[in-house]
Amino acid sequence: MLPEEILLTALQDRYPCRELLIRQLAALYAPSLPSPSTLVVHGLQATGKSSILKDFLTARRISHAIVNSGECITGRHLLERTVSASLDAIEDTVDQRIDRSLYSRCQNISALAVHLQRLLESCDNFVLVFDGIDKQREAPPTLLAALARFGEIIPSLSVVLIVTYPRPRFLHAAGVPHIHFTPYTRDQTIQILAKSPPEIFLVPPSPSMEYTDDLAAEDNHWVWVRFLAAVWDSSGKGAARDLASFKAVAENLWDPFIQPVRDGTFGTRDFSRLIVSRRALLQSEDALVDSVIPKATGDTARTVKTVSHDLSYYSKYILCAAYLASYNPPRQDQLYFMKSTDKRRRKRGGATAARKNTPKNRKIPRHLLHPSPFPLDRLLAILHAILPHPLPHTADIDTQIATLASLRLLLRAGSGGGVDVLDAASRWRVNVSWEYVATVGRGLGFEVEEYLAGGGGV
Amino acid sequence: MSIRDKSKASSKVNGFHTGPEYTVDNVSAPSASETSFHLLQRLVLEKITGKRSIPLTGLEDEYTKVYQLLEQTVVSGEGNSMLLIGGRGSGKSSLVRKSIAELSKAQKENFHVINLNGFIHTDDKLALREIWRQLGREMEIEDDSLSKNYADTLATLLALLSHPSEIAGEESDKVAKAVLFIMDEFDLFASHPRQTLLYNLFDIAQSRKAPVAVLGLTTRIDVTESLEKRVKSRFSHRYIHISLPKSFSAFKEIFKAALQVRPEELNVEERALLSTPLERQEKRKKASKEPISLLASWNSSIDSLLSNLDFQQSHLHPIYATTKSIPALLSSLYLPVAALTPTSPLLNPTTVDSVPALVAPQSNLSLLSLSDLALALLIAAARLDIILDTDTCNFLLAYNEYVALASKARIQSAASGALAGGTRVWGKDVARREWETLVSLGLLMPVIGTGGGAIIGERAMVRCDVALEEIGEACRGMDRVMTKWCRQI
Repeated sequence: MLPEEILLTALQDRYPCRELLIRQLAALYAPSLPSPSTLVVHGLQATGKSSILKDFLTARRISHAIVNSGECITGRHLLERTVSASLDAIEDTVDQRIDRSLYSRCQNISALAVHLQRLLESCDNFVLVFDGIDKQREAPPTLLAALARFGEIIPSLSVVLIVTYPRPRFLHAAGVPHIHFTPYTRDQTIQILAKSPPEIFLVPPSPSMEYTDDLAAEDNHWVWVRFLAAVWDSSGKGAARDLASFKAVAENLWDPFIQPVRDGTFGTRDFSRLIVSRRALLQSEDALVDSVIPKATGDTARTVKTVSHDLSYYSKYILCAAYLASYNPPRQDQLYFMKSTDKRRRKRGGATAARKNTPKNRKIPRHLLHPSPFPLDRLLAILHAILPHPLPHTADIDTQIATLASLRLLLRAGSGGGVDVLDAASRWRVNVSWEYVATVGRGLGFEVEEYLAGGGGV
Repeated sequence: MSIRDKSKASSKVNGFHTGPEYTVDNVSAPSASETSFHLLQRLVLEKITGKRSIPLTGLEDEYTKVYQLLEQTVVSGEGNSMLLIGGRGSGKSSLVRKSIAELSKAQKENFHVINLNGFIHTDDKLALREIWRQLGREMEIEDDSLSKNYADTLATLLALLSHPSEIAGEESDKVAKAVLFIMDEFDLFASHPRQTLLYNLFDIAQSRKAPVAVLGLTTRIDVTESLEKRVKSRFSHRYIHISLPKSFSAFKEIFKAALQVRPEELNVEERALLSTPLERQEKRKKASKEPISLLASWNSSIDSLLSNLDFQQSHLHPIYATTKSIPALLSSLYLPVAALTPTSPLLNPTTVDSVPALVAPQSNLSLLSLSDLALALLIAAARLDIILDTDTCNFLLAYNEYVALASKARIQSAASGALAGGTRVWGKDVARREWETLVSLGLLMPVIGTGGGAIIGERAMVRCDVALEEIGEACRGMDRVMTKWCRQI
């Protein structure tokens, strides 16, 4: 077998299910044939774009430099890194020091083109890889289009752009070859992950049970593959389809799943009984949600959910008024809050709400939108309207609003820096959900829903 | 290139095509026919990758015009300006390149070429620097004369470009060397503030101070609209419109010229390039000795490939109908050509079909293997566009819609007695994560700057970038329930 062939086979062993792509790369970057001046490599996350390309170029001993956009915080940073990475790579291949003072500054794309031109004069084949270039921060607007043209300006250079997905005509050039790293399918994912099964028994069972390492390895693999298939069908397919997140989910679930076997309740080959007993585990979504807060169990979980503040009587009314001010359109205020024509008007309002049943053009449920800001005097007006009795002079409304603001139940909209917080013109918005305000209102014997345009939430 | 290198090349090609034959013919030294095959393969691939120019087809008139303009500039010292307008891949650059190559055969000593690209030289200062650099390299001016000051540089440059007689103030017979400015993406130069560079270049070209030709290459047909009045009045208003091939047979002709290797191209190359005259001669000899040379059989194989109806149907017609882009067509043939072997050296429709094409994808949606939940949320968001008659929505709206749809589907499947219970209503936290995936993939675009909306969080407004019909079209292998969601409101 030829050395190249051996290298390719080794690469294919490392990256299963990617034979075709590796062969395509090998054909594109064959040393004696001209390579395309620009190549776009695209594929979703965790499809092996970067690592396969890197290993391929290294294995082939093609002189190359890889610039990772994720490590560069500005466009200029990217350019500078490109120059230094290219310098390093070329120093490695020609094995002599290059005078770096010529390349000390690289402020713009034009300078990069000049530097690369000078650098690659003596080099006959060089591959420059830009990893994740579509996610570059503060990139100059013509960066991608310019990079795609570098290969035309500098004959010995081949540019490879690794992107998540190519937008149509994002390079402003015709006929740029694209290689698609397809997402792994169910079988491929399982095949890849099956290469490294975790241990069933963290501590080997006592020697008296004659459980050898070979047996353990066989069992590990047997259970792990079946487990992966079950996890894929239950949650991977639905919500964790790419290799990395699927692997994370599977690893999260493995320990609790295999616990009965470790305890000795089931044998290693009792997979069907094991999966029936652990069905709840596979059906829950806990493994899918990453959280920095440790998972609360039992009682504490319930108390966290119904968090409530012990507010004063008027504060509660202010909160309800603020909610209504945020979610009712101001032009309907007359309809809902005018005392004199209360009944008749509200009926009309109700009638408009009932008309929304036409399926073609449903009304947008306002409670799902962002709360809209309102001026302070509107809040006070609504408060007066919804209070069942006149507001006594002793109730210090301003203080209570300030308290609610400091609890962040009310938020100031916009940045009115120096303006007085309780200025009548300053704008506010409510910061509580429908469920919360409905509970508060019910405690007061006040149905917020009656006053809410378009009815209550949920 | 030595014989040994060639043998490596052949192993590479075989490496791509795991055939049983490769071990056999690589152990022995490569025969002469193999060498000529590798040369041919290399030639064709160079044409495919654009490293070797493709013969112009159907652009003879345009070529004559450009060539004459350049020739007049160089020979008779005129100042000229011209715009070449045409779509991507229509052959603007190769037209100019060919003209310059042709011109340099006769007049190599008498002109300089400055290449500028609007994508790379993004403002006038950079462009000026680049002109200075390219001129300086050709005219051998020392680098330190390049001052930091933009105005100084411009003044020096203008002096440099002007006729020597004008600087000296006396008549002399000396003719200045012509300078040809090739400005790619000309429309971007017009977007630079005050268009100083264009003004000065056109001014020199028009006032006959120096033999300067300004060739602007652009894709925008309305590019003169964006020129300032003072710039426009100095432009000669000579345009050449280069259209994409107008008929299918013209399209085929261009493609044929690009793939076939004509003997006259080789001869030109022999003179132009220093590389391996020996091998080439050997190849030419080979071609003349054999009754049917490799070259002739290659060319005839291209002919038969192009007349093959299946090949036309699968490769030519789709591209002709969508973009008419020759480069796209050529890059789709890179792998088939690279996969050829000395034992089967000719392209035929089956070898072309057996290798995947390297073309840009048509639609993004088909590429993304979205998880079921992400797809369902996307469908929900796209449905809301229609149902609510707005173009924006947020996570809460879409999730509510999803829950409504999914619970209905669940009840129905339970009622019809499906035990599998395939439809599952996912929780809000998981859905939120998938929603963020969709945003990061660009299928949902965040709406920024519409008054008062949240920027982040579950109430942040987004615009759904795909329409409901598209989803149904693109994701064929979708769940039956979700297909229904796409069809019925």
